[in-house]
Amino acid sequence: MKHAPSCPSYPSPSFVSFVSPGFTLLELLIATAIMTTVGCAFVSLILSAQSIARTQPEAADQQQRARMAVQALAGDVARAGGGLDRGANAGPLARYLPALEVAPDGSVTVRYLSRRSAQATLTAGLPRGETAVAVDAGGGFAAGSSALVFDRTGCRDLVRVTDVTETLLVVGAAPRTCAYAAGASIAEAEARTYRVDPVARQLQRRDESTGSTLPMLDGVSRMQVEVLDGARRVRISLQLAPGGSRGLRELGVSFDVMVPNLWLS
Amino acid sequence: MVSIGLGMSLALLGTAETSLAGHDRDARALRYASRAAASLAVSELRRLPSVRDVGRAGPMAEVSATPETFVDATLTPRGPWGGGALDLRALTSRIQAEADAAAGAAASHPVWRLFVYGSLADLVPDAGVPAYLVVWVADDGGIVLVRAAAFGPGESRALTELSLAAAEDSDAGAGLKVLVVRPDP
Repeated sequence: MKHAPSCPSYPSPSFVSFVSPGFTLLELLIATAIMTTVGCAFVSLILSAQSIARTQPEAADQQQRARMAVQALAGDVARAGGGLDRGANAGPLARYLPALEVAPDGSVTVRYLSRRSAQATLTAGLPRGETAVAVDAGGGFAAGSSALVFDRTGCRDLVRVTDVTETLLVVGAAPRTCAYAAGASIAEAEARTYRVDPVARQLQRRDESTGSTLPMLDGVSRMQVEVLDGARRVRISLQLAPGGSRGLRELGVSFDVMVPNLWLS
Repeated sequence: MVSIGLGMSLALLGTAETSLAGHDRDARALRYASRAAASLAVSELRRLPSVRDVGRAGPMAEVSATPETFVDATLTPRGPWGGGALDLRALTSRIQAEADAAAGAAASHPVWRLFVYGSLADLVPDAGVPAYLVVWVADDGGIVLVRAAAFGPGESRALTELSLAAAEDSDAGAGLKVLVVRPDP
């Protein structure tokens, strides 16, 4: 250990006053604790931000896909029951057949006529096995489209139009439930069923005329359809449960759709 | 730096999501506006002593001979969302072309004419959404067709189409009956 010179004519060297006295153990402990706390908070912030950054694009994507699926479903439900413009059976489709059917499993089937230019009246009877349909205005139909044949007795059949002339429609040979008399109606139509496949956890849309099924939205565990206000309003609730995605929570989506053509009936 | 990067990417994502949600909300509002325009047109058609002339041309070929009272002073009004002018003549041609294309080879090709056109704010001052309403009518062999559109920002639009039939023994507007409503045809 060095000592300052003891000569009384010289004061203690000035550098002595700059020597740090050091930290006490308590100060060091407090400083360490503060640094550890701040560090932990910072790491936690980064980890949570990383987690959000990982899941947020998926959540945003799922919300956008849900919007598109909801728009398609709501659009079809809103069109349910749209019927003929002209002819003896003009008016809402619900007068002649169920335009919107809700099954106990939560699925919903909608039926509506899709184009006002593709509507005709049968000018001759249509036996069950016959594929040539004599009509008064076939020009607006398109080959390959779906059409609904129906009459006032409640009989209905979805057929596939394969060929078109002004006075004759050729339809697929699929078996039909009824024979139709002259005066029955035929029109381009859509009949679609929306249901949730519980195994695939997927909202699907089935085209009833072709039997084809189209996936609409993944990660759907349940759909509930309620018909309210005397069929004026339909409430659809979807339970979105994204499987296999960490950090995404279950989400319930519920929306109301006005069904104007059901009011008219 | 990592935090700043993550924060910025989240902010951008949030902005995109907000924008998508905003478009979705506006589209819904426009759909409601188009239905309101269709209802207005039907109520006005029902006031007419006769609907025989609604499909005929007035002094301007694009406008019905019996236009509704809710019509703008010009056929090139400014979009209420602050955008450029709407050309109602061009829109009428477009609606006609769309209807003709949808009709395909059908014998009937009705001619569409302007019946209602004005800003939603003039009808409902606190509507909240800047929309311009246009309703066209056409006569399709005794069936009165109504096509109501609500135009919004970013060339967005919503359509509602209706078919109405007059009473068998009279062409008075009061006897009009709605046969079909086609939301977003």
